[in-house]
Amino acid sequence: MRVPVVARQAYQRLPVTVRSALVHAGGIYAPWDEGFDFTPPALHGDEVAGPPEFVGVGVQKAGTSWWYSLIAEHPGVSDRDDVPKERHYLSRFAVEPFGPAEVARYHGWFPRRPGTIAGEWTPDYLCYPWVAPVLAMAAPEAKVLVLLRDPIERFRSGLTFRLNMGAPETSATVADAVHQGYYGRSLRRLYRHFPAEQVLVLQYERCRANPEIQLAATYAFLGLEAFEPPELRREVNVSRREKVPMDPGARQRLVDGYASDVADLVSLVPSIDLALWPDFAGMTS
Amino acid sequence: MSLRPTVGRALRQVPAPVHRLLPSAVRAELRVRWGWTHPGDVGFRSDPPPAGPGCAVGPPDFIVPGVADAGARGWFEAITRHPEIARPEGEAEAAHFFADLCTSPCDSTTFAAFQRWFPRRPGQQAGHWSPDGLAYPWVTPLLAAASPEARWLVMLRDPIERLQAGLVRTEAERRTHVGSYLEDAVDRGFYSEQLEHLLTVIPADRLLVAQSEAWIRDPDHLMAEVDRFLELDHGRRSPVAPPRLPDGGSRFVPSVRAQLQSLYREDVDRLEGLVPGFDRTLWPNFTGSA
Repeated sequence: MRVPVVARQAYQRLPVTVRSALVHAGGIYAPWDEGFDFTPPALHGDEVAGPPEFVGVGVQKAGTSWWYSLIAEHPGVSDRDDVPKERHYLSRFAVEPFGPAEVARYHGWFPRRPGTIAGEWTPDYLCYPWVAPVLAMAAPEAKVLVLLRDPIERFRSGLTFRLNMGAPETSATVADAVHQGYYGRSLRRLYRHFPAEQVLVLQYERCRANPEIQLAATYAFLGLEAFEPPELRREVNVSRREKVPMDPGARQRLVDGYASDVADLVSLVPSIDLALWPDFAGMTS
Repeated sequence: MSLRPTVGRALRQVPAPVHRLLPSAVRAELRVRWGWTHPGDVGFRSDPPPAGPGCAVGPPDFIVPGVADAGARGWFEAITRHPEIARPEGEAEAAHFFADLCTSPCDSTTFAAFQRWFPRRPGQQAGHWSPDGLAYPWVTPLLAAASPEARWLVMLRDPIERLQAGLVRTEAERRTHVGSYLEDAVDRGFYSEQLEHLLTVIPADRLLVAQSEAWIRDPDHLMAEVDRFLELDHGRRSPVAPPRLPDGGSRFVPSVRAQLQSLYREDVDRLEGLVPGFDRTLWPNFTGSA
């Protein structure tokens, strides 16, 4: 059914909260909404389903859609257009039972052609403390990918994104954006369930500066052969909106608040280059 | 006379969910022009009631910074029912004072505005209840800077029971972005992390940590400890009734409870080294072996 252009334009002008209410009334939900149907997609042709070979767990607004698209383009990776990059399947198991039936259902979300691998990238997973233990139950052999970005810039982009998505303008929304920047704390939790050699931590700024080298390292980590996608510096899911303004004093307070966590991060992942995060560059000396 | 405070106060009577249904541009206009916000909203500001005759304002002498659903507000109210403590007014409006200042300027003018919420007569102390004071990391240092001599009283509750109660209270917020909703609820139970953060901005001798279960078991014993900590005459305090904590029922099946025990155990273990007198036996979820 084709929706008239005028109706589509009118719909786009509605507030996000109203748009969400309308699509929910029609039984349509996003994977992060209450009410999403997690019945796995049907298999096509000779596809089989199984545990993911790789799972990206973080972080929001750090270029994960771009990086996932580059991984998905590799001929050794299965990625279907009708299956979202962000499964969000594990997001609700903080207070719901997670046993063999839930594990099998999760595996159903990773159809792949023979001889290829499959995975997902849900950037919120890293800051959900219950995800690492359930992921370790569901996919203990999975390679785990983490793409980090300067915590202050990530905070501003993340908060802007959430507000544009219709999140209420409350301190709880701000707190959610702040909490997602405690990478050291989150990685410590992750490492309790996945050994460091099973986790690849990347920096967004380094990927932007030198995608060829970083992508080659990513493919190698995933056990994929060398491959050159036709367009490395594509823009995927880039926000054109102005970021939330930030008072310089408030920015410094946030830097101070993150400083000990950033130091912890560097102790966990010595390859992190703080020179790429100017607010924290002084910590290298 | 400006109409803004009056209109803003009247608009705040409209329930927050109605406010949030409006287009964001309209909300922003109403927020900027008329101050139509609620405590905890970005941009919320409210004036304190005028200080009574003979009262002076100043930073709070003590702070009760949560935790949510552990009975902290009831504890704060019980503490303030003492003749040497000023009766708080408008504490619900002052409660989130620093919560919306994460990205905003905050200086001595802001601190002076905060201190106006705490009038007290000579010889009295004044207290502040801050439900975000531990959970929101930018609030803790701002509170400490605005109240440099304050003593802090933290009420903890078995994190699994606290989580159950919190989920019941906030059920209506679960509709969208389930993960973020759960993250906030779960994160508030990692007490050691929050206390360690607090102890980076205040000395340990200005912190008293209590357990709600101990408060239920023997309210007078706990209030005597509070009065010693705040240097109040315990003999002048009326008897305190045992509290009623927010009830979460028994919604977690055993396997979920086991998942949560595993999730919180390491943080609870750290509490033993962090909180003098911490009584693990009051939290049956964490008394067994892993």
